[in-house]
Amino acid sequence: MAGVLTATLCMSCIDNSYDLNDIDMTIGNNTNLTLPKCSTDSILLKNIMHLKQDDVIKIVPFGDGEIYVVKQDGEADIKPFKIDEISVSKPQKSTFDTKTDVSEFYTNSQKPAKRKVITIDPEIPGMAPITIPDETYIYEIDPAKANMKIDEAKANNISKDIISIDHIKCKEEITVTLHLSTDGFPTHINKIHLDNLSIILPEEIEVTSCYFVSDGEKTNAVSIDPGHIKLIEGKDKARTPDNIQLTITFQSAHNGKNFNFDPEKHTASLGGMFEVVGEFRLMTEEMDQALMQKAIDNEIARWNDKQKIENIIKFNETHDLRIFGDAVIPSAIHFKGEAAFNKDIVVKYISGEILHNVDEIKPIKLDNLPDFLQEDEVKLDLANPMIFIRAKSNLPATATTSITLYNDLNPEKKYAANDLIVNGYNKETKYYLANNKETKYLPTEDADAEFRQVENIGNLIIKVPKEVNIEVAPVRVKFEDLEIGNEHEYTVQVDYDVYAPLSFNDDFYLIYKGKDLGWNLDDDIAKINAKGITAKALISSNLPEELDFTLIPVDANNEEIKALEVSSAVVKANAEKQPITITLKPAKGHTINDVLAGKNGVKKLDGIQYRAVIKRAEDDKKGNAGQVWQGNTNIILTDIQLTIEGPITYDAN
Amino acid sequence: MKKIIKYTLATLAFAAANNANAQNLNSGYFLDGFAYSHEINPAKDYDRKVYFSVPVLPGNINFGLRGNLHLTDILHKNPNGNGLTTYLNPNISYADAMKGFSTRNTLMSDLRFDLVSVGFHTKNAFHTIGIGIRSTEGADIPYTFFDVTKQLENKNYSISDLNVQMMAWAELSYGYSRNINEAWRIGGKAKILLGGAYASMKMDQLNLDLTGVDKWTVTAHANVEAGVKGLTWGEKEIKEYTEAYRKKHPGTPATYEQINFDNIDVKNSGLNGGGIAFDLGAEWDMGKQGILEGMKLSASLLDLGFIKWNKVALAHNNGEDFVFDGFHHIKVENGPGVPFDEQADDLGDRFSNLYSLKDGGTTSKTKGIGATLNIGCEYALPSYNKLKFGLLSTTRIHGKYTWNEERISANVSPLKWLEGGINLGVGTLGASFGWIVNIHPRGFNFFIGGDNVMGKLSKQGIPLKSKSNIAMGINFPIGKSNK
Repeated sequence: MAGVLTATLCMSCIDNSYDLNDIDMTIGNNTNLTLPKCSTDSILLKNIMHLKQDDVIKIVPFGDGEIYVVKQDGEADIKPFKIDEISVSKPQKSTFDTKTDVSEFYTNSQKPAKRKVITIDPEIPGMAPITIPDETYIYEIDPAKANMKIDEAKANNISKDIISIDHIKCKEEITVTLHLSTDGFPTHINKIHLDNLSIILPEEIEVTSCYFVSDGEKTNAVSIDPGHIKLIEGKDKARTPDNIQLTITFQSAHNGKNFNFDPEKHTASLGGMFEVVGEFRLMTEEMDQALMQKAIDNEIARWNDKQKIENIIKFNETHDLRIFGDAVIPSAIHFKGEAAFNKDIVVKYISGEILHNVDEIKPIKLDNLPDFLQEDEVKLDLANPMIFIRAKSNLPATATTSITLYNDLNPEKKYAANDLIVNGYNKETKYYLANNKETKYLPTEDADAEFRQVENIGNLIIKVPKEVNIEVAPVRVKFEDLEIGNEHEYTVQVDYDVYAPLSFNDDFYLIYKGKDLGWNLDDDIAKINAKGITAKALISSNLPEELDFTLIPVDANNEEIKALEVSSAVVKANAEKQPITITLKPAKGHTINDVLAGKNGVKKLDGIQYRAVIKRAEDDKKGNAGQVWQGNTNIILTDIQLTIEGPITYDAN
Repeated sequence: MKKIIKYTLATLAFAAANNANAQNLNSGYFLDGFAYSHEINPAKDYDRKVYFSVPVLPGNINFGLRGNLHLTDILHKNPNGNGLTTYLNPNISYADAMKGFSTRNTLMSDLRFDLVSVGFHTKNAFHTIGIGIRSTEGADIPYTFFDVTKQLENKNYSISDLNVQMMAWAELSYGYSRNINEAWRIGGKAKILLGGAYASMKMDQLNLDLTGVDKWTVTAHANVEAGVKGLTWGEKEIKEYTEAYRKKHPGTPATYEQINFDNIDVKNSGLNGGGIAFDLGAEWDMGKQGILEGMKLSASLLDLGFIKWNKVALAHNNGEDFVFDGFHHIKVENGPGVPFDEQADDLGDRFSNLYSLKDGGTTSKTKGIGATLNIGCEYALPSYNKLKFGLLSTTRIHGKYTWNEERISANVSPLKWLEGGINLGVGTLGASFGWIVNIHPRGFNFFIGGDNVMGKLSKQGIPLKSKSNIAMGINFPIGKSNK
């Protein structure tokens, strides 16, 4: 009974709508909650930009501090080159074998001394003995016959870099030996004169010495002129009609018709001939009289009478011993010559001109760009970008070249600097190409660089290309006595820098984007909702430009979530404790929880992108360059107050 | 926040699950046939020779909740019409949520379960012997606790004296009462108390100063006492300080220990203490004194005693202030400064230090069980003495859980074996309506009543209001009524 009564009393009071199994555990706060103020330390721009060592934007020392520059080094890959040795095989021996006729004779005086009385055959009636006069016979050497043509020697495969050779110098002295000989003289002729003996030779050969040996006596050339060696000037002394050995020495040659260089075929050839000029001279008084009489007698003996008489009569009239035949006075001298080079012509030095092609130079790759230079809208309107060219060559002469730059975005538009002179002898040459002569921001190490104006060169990178191509024209070198051969390697080094302090003109526009993705929000976070979040702070910055900062919430696919609206903030140039406010609110028709939980047709928040536009404020545009960004450019946020706006709820179910 | 809610509800459930009212059934105070009136005033007589209860049937079981913190204060009807929700739901306005809370919010539950109770008369006296189990639980939560959990904003909060306490013991009692003259009757009861379990959690001071724009300061002093035989805190949780914390606090060891309540262990449980208590009472029949016919005055002082708990395990936090003065010089993107993670780690460690409890060893504690002072006045109509009116003032003296009420009642005994009454109480915990029906024909007694009408219950039978009390009992009286 008691139980029934108790149960009745209790059951009658049960409120079925008060079911403890059906409790909505959503909790929350209807008011705002502001956290204590926080602050950041210096947020260095270089860290935000994530500048890496090989980035195109670098921070370089300048003065007492550092500055930001667009800087990209490069080095032209110009392979060292050699001028191969030029070797011309020694020409084959060349000879001549000719007869030199008597060209002239004369008695030595009106009353020639009767040197010899020749008894005429007594059987010839009426013939008195005759007297042999002092006569001189001249045999003029015909150079058209007395010459030795140099068997043309060629040097092939001469370095293609050589475009002209003016002069060569051989490794060693070359000796050309000329053997001159005569024969066919009767025995009574044992003296001969070589009057005005000269050698005509290719004038390109630069003879250093010349002498001849005759009768065992060495006689130096009287004079050596281009193409002409005078061995004996005027009347020669009497010599034994024997071999004359002439030695011509040379070590250099210059370009000419006999030694020429074909830049098309890359060959050089040596030709021409050695010609002997002069005259043999025989004098009767120097002949052996007895032998001469005997020779005459022999000749007469071979005559028939009538002829004897006629010849003797003629002799008396002409006093020309040649009527007694070649056995007495040869009508011609058998003259032979032989020329031989002692060795190959190996060229050690050349003078001329080289045109060395520079291999394709790797472009300046601008692919290591920080993110903020990669956007289409970026305009890198730099105040005065410079391109430094540093060249060095060990050539023993200055070289000239040209440099042309263009980018991959507009390869038709080229920026050229012509007639750049590159010092030789390892002396560095420095140029900087710029639109304006730089007065302030030349790097210390390049303060001595020579300015070459290249108009509007800034346009080369105003829309940041992937690469800047560089063409270096063939290096042209005029030189003298360039030493060639394998042991001599010539280098032309060209380094280049794009160097542009980050000092912008009015139109520059940089966009920095960053992202922090993969938040993979915890399920507990997905249970939170709030009306919004407001962050207030004071911002100070020595960035000399205006910065427009925007946060963009994104989902796991890095796509913007438009259901969450985040305000942007504008930081003024050189801001000093400038108040900024960033609010985060749901878009109309959505809640923050939609974004945190990914529901109601909204993708779940998984990260955030941030976008900063750095530009010049309209009010600050002055038509000239702004301040250069300093290396210590930073942002500091102080008095950061984060307010979570209610109602703030948490679904604890 | 979720933990706070859990602990809040757990605390309330803890109290509600033991929703017995150790208060005696005051509604029966003025009924002569109510066998257990001696538990309200040991001077009270009983109108039968003998009564006894048997263990298999509840002689007197009394369940009760008392307090000004109600389930309806915590759980509201969800404004969206779907079931219930907590006061923390932002759809419950601040005003609606907080209107149910008082400066101090108490919830007390008590249980009395008399296993054996015997009463008998000798020549001049009435003797009682009882064996019973009693427990008392209480939670005392300041308004600011609910304020801060409902609406955390940049204000200064002081949540001092947040207490939760429970005590359970067995009681062996002997009572004696007799008339000392024609008008006066006195009585007393001696009780031997056998301590079962005691637990207390006190948040002496929890101050949250969130007003500063530069810093928040939190101060918390928490103590936990657990007097259960064989209880140990178990294996401590070894936690490591972060590098950031050690860097900022040089000399800090690498690790620290904290109590993990999951590891609490109880071995060889049993009684953990003992004590004594006395009940004293007196009754003055002003009619027999010749002053006013039908008027009686009475008074009693109950549970005047203590229990000494032998082994009480202590735990406490270190009481250091927690200051959050923002994150400063935050390192951003490899710049100078201190990384945010490092500062957050330091903050986390310092916050952990705030609430982590450390083993404070064991001690003995002597605790009062809470005394009750009753003063009664009854008046039976001379023209119809089967109708009596009574006024009972009850004051519970138990520290944070002290309360007082004045209860006026009308009691009627239309038949010798039937009596009942209704009453209305007002006091520090609000108003209450009580009732009792006592049926006691020869050889059998059944009573049922309550000092607070149960009111509505949740679907699961949990009283929605903390003024709920029901008592009932079956006893076996022997002998004629002495009236």
